[in-house]
Amino acid sequence: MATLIFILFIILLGAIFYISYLQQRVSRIKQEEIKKTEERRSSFISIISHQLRTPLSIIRGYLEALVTGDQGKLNDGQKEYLDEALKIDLDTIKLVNDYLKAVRLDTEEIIVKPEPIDLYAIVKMEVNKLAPLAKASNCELILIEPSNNLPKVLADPIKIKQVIENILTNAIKYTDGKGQATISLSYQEGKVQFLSKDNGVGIPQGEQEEIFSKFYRGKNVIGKDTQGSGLGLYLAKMIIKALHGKIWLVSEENKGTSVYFQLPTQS
Amino acid sequence: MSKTYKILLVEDDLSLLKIYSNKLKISGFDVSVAITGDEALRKVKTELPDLVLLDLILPGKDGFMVLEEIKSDPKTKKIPVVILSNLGQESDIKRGKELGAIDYLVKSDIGLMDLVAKMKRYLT
Repeated sequence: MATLIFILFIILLGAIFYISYLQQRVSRIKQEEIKKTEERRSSFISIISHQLRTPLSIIRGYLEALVTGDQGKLNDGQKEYLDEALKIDLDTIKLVNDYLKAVRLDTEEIIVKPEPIDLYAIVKMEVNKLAPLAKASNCELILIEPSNNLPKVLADPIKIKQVIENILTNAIKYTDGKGQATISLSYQEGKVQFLSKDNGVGIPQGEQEEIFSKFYRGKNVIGKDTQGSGLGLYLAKMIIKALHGKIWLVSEENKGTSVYFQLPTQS
Repeated sequence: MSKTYKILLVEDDLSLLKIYSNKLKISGFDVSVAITGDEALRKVKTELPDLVLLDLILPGKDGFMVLEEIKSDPKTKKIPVVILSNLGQESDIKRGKELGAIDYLVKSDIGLMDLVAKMKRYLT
């Protein structure tokens, strides 16, 4: 009897070791598969980056060289045509960049390097940068200076610029002419809050959650004369989330949209 | 600029080579060019430029290998290297900076005027 129990014990022990060995092997194979898939995706992104961006860079370079007069003076008509071609090239570069960012976000955790930053200074810089685009689109950007000194926020300066640019570009694009966007900062519940309030086309009820999804564009703007990848707010959400903040919006169709985000402060 | 600074432009795309070298020359820089990694290394050692503007995807030795060799040679390691590439993944940027590049520029995202302004900032 004792021998039988011993043999059963040995068989059981052997089975446990064998199952454990198989589990480890399966896990190792899975990890190797994941690694290979990641490497393939990364290599795919590199190839696409290079092959799509290179011709766009060449077009940009030639057009800029012409527009700045490096190859001789242009007449007004020539300059206007080349400016338009350059604008289309830059828009396409932005689209490609957005798509690449979206693919990357599927493959890797968004990497942020938070540091204490003056959010107002960055917002002001972005408003100034976008002022020519706003003017060309007949939209006024109004930046309200905070009444009190705001604490610094913990954010990645490069990534937060991208968020602000995406929000303000939307405000400019979707104000349907004679638009206005008011940008303000405030201190709320231990966090610094950004608000961009525009009087644009708004987002229909029922789409306001989806608007933060990848490639989603409001049904009321599809087909209008505006370009968009449906990635701006998706990227903004991913970045704000990585910075431990939150982003949301309040909108009414044909009245306008208010986009908010909050970021933690340096404490 | 009172002094004429020499930039070694490493670029295998002939259109981009023409665009960048023309702009840099018009802006007052002395520009030397290389279209392969090996040619770049040879010219860095013989010409000792003030700055290297380095593409990453190159025939033969790639830009990372070129950068590594520049930074491991006592004769050339102090020459500032700026990467100018259309690769832009965080991992590429991190690797380039870790190998000693002072900046990483994405070609499609930087205009010619901005490129010239950056070169002036690094050299004057």
